[in-house]
Amino acid sequence: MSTSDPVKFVAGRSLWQDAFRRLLRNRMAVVGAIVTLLLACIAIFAEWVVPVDPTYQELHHRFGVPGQVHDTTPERLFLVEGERTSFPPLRYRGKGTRHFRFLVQQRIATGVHVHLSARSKKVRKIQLTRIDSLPESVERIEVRGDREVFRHGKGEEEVTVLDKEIVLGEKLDDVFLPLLSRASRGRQKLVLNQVVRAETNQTLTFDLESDQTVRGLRIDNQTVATYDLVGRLVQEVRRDGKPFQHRHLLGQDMHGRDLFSRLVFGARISFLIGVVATLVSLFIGVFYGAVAGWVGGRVDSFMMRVVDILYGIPYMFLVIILMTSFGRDVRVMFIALGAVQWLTMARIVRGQVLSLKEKEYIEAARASGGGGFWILTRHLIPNTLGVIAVYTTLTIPSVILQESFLSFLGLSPEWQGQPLESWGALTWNGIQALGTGQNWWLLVFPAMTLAITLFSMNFLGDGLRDAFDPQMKGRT
Amino acid sequence: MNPEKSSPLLRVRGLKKHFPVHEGLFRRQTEWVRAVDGVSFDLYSGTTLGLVGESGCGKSTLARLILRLLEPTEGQVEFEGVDVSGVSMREFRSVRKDMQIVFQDPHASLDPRMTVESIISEPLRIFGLNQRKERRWRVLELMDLVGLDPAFLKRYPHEFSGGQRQRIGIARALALEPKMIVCDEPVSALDVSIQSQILNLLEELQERLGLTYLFIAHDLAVVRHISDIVAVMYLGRIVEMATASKLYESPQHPYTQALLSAVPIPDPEIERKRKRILLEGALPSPRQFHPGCSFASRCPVVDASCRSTPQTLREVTESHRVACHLVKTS
Ligand SMILES: Nc1ncnc2c1ncn2[C@@H]1O[C@H](COP(=O)(O)OP(=O)(O)OP(=O)(O)O)[C@@H](O)[C@H]1O
Ligand SMILES: [Mg+2]
Repeated sequence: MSTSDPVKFVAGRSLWQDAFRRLLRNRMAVVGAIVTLLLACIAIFAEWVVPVDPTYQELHHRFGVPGQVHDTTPERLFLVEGERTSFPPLRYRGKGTRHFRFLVQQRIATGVHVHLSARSKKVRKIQLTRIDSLPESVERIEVRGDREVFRHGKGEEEVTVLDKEIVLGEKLDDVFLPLLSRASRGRQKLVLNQVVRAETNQTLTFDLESDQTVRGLRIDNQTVATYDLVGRLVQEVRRDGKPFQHRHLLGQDMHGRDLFSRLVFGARISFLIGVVATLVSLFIGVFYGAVAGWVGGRVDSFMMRVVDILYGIPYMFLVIILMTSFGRDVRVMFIALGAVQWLTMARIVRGQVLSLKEKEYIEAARASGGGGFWILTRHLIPNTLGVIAVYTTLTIPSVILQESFLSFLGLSPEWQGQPLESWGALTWNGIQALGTGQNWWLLVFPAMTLAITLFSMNFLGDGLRDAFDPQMKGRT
Repeated sequence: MNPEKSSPLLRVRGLKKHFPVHEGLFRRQTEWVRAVDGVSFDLYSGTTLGLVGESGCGKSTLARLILRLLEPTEGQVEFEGVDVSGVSMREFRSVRKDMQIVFQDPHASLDPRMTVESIISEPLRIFGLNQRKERRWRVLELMDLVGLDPAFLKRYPHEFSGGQRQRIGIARALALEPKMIVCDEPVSALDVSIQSQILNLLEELQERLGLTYLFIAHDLAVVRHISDIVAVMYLGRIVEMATASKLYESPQHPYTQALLSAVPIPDPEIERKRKRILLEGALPSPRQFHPGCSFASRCPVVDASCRSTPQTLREVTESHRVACHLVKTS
């Protein structure tokens, strides 16, 4: 053939493409894949999906019925001297200007510090951009910047917040207060030291502008001085001054928290535990199995005997022991669940490597001068990847289920002392709530979500297995 | 062709491979499988040695020993006059270029996740030979050489028939321009109609490229035309070795005679008159050690001394060697 011939190469169909085609033909697997992907997206973008902060308690609407629509209830606060109270975040996320309404119910004698703290990574500033007040009764608003200590990722920092006194009757549009002058991580506080002399039932609205999406803007109420304030309400309002309305699609729980939002965040936790524990098992199992299979002989039989022995241990028992003795930290759970799951992974990878090792194309590569590294990277890894991928997708739902089971036993994982409310924990809460009345939705929705997820993932995993390894069809 | 004049390209002396057998719970080594048990032969440049034997007699093991895919228990392999059996793997790398192998199973010998291009170019990539672009031309050249449509460059092995796959395997073996190719039953897995195509291709390539073949097969019919010298193997040993014409015309060893009698002859007249020698029993386990002739258990002409007399290859007529003490030297 002369080298100037134009040649049209017929692109072949690789085994991956082939497997993908077979997967697409499996309707259940496709549905499973779509549902799984959707749930994964929801878990990743939870902040953007939820209508309200999942921790926001609307105590007026405990056990709210699914589908109910109502205004965001203002928070009623009874301040006790020296005690710190916090208003939960109202709207979960926000960028740009947000409007707040502050209802003064009774006379405020002295200053009240309102701390705004935002959970976000890159907020550079939060500005108070506008304060409206009712001129007749509010004598003076003093926005005073104390020297405040800000805690962020790199340590503590002292920042002087601008002082500004707003005299009544003055145009309030340009009043602003930079929160932080530079990029800062972690919790940030804005001190709005207001000395409001108001008689009663006055409304004060103020706008806050942030340069980044702020998650969970909290308004902490901290008193520094004596006061005789009895009750106030704070509410985040829409631009037109009306309160936000929430539809509690799946109802509210015993603390008036939105179940839908809680499920969305529960997805994140359940998925995270499923994926991380699976990755742990993947890491150990692939390495262990590959070594056993590749080295072979006595080393292999010893390593596999160890796996057999570990298989014999009642693993749930082991996980429970680990979690009760080392605490309920998620990391303990990751290690405990991953340490159990790797056994099967190791077996599968070992079997695969063992059978691949005998393949003539490995010998052909050796005959052509290919060393161990070449064979590992060009032949062994590409040929085991499919099986590993399949098994991984089957492991994730099983880990999720196990975690739910543990949460169900009351062993829900914690992170830095805070319980992580996975779907399992929500289901458990639902069961507990059942005892207190007709709160079926608190059990049914989490349980259904969990079931749908597990079904989808298993359908996807089975479909992948059938697609990658048609001979394996029907076998476990 | 006069092979005796030059020195051989490949010289195998007393090659042995004994595999340990591990048994029981603790995998204690209990026995040895004498897969190859003292094989010697010379292979001259440009010629073909046909190696024939039943399944399990150690043909593939012998091939792997020569290519050092396995380490021999004993014996030497000399390539171009240099003993390569003792050298380090690093030094042996340069010999790899000159010695390639075509495998029996065209399904198992091609990585299913690689395209034809990456399969054929793998040896080139391992040795870092050509640049990317040149490499493609080299691959296309090789495909053309073995009769594959260059348009299939980007296809995967499972999209080909057995014969085409074997051509891919041959192209891969040719990539490094080797002097010798070990063909380990290259046609056994193929349909009879395709077998001859591949055999013709191999013969053609030998002529064009001056290749030397060690051609392994499990039946005598296949190696007849392609071989200059034929060696018959039984339980890890060569029992008879002669030029192809001599071996087919006057087989001396009872085993060879039995094998030949099983080869069908196209002429029905001769076929009917021919006497068939049926071998009794299966191939004995290669684990046993036979002090005498290993074929004694199935030999139709066995006598009392066979089981105790060690058999060695000896020349009975010019370039015809047999390992049977019953065969008279002429
Ligand atoms: N790695 C090994 N470990 C133990 N025994 C082996 C090993 N490889 C081969 N054997 C044994 O050595 C003997 C010869 O095997 P070999 O593969 O060389 O036979 P063969 O002549 O190529 O047969 P076939 O025609 O079936 O390919 C067989 O009994 C086989 O079981
Ligand atoms: Mg073989």
